[in-house]
Order: sequence, then structure tokens, then C-alpha cells
Amino acid sequence: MKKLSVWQVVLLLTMISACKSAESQKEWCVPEMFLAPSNFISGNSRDTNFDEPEEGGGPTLFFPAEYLAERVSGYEATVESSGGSTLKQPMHVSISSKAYKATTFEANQAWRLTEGVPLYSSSSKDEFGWDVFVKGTSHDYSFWGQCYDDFEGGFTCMRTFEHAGEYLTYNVDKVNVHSYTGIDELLGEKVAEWRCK
Amino acid sequence: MPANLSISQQARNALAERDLERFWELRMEKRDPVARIGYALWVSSAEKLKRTIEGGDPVYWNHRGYAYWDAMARSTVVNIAVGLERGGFRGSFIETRDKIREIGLKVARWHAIYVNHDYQNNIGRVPGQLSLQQMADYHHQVFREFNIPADFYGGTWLRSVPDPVELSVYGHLYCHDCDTPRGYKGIGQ
Repeated sequence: MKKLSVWQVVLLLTMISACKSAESQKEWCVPEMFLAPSNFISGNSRDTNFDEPEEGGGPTLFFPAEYLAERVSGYEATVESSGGSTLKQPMHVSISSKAYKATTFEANQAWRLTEGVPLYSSSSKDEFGWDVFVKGTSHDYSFWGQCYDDFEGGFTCMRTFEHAGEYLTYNVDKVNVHSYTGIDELLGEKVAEWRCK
Repeated sequence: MPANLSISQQARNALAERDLERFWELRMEKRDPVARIGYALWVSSAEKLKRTIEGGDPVYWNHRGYAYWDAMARSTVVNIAVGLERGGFRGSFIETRDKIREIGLKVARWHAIYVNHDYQNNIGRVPGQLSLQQMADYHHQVFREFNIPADFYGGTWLRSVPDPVELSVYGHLYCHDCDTPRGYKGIGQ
């Protein structure tokens, strides 16, 4: 059998890697208006103080506040800040292939996040982030996401849920937390729709 | 061994007290790269910033001196002020200054949330150390909350200039390694 030269091996490896890269580029067909600008940043070549981006997963999606308010029941496109600003409520959604870690839920230390949704935490309120769990119909608790005190009487959350083997994480303000099932449903539909056929 | 980049109780307290200088100073002590511009923006005196940079590790400061980071901070303030105006905000000098501070507090809070999320979930190479992409995401989130056009982050207010040129000329705002859209790998094409 004929031996391959070093250059032929390099060429072969390059072709294999090009195929893999073309494959991954075919995974997502997201309309450009729903892509976060961060998707257009590559590497940290000239400043090694920054971390490398996470490998795997998908692009970061962006949903304008008005788009969400039109499609998700009860979603409010704006909230009022304590500083008197009217803040829009757009959403960045990251897609990861790995599950996020959560602490164990301690039912005897549980406190309710807010009225109207069955979300509870057993984290100390003095901690920077609170692991939040949703109470199921059979009184079981499953990880919902993390919430953070805004030190002004409100909070912001990073909701994480699994969809078709991937983990979607999005930001949501206290005002819109009660709409999370509608948001999950919309995001699940969009992620499925934007997989290249 | 890299420093523990998690959000400390002191940093949480600084956020609660709305003390941006202290928050970024604490993050700087942990060699958080975003803290360089955060501290330069909110430090109470130019002399303090100068001393910090001159006495610091040149690698952490990306081999850039006081003049560079001071210019970055100044141009950031101008950029946000112009971005607010483009987004429809009309206010006096004092009102604009207060609004920029409100944006600064939001950015700091989102930074802490992203760091915490990154730290707890071991994202990337170093837990708690953000990538440029993560940093861009929360800045865009805050800018859009305040109706500042997204291209004001890491970009410029000269909207008539084509994007790749904008990035090469003004892309140094925070994001001196921002690439052009050519770098994007996610979309199917």
C-alpha cells in the first residue's frame, strides 16, 4: 500500500476538519434579526485575560421585547425602574449542550419567590444567587433556574430548561416570571424551527 | 493557579450599596478583565487610576498604560450619552449623568450575574472568567433595556460608516478583540 506524504496527511486532516466545520455551520438556520451581536465576535486573540467561549451548544438568540409581548400571554414589554426609567424587556437566550448544576432543595428551609407562581428557593437570601425550584403537582421540586436580588425590591432570573437534549437559558425580570411556561413554549418552538432542515 | 473569580460577599454588598468604584475594585483584585474598564469608568480620581495601572501587572492591563484606559473610559461615557440620545432620551447634563450611572449599575449587576452563572457551571476554561461573547451579551441586554441601539456597544455612533470599518476604527471601546461578522460560526449558510 502506498504511503502518504506528510503534506498529503495534512491536506487530508484539513479536509476532514473543513467537513466537520461545514457540518456544524449547517446546524442552525436562524434569521439574522434573532441572532445576538455576540455571535459575530470570535476568539480573544489579543487579550488573553478573557476566557475562551464555551464549545458546543448553539448560537445566542435575541428576542425583542415587543416580539415577546405579542406572542406570550401576560409578557410585559417594559418595566419601570426605581430610577424612573422605562426599561425594555428583550431577551438573550443561550443554548448549551450541558446541564447546569443546582444545589439540593431543602424543603424545610424553602421560601416562596413571589406570589402567583409555584417557585421556591432554599438558598439563604444573603447569597448572591438563589437556586430556584418549581413545585410540581405531586409536591415534587425540580430545578427551575437562578434568581438574583436587584436590591430595589425586585429580582431578575436566569431560567434554564431542557429542550430536545439541549439546555436553554434566558433572562427574565420579576414582572415577567409568571409567564415562564409561555416563554419556554415559544423558545422551544423557535429552536426547533431554526434547526436547518 | 487562577484566582477564585466568584462574586464575593463584599462585591455583593458593594452592589447593594450602589458603590460602583468599590465593586469594580474588588473585581480587579480578582483579575476580572472586565474590571479594567469598569474601574476606569467609576474610579473617583484620575490619580488613583494612574497609580493602580502603574503599580499593576502589565499582562492584566494588556500592556496598555493609563492614557489608553483613561481614553477608553472617556469615549465610553461619550458613546453612552450619544446612544441614549439616539434612543430618544432627552435630558440635562445632570439627568444624562444620572442615567449613565443607572446604566452603570445595571451593567455591574448583570456582570455579577453572568460571572456567578459562569462560575457555578464551569463555563469555558476558567470558572467565573467571562469571554468577550458573554460580556457582549449582557451589555447589549442593558443597552437595549435603555433603548440604546445595539451597535453602540463596541461600535460607534457614526452609523453612516460601514460596519467592518466602524469596528476597525472604533471597535476598541470595550471590546478590542471584536471581530467582523465573518467570524460567526453558528448560522447555517
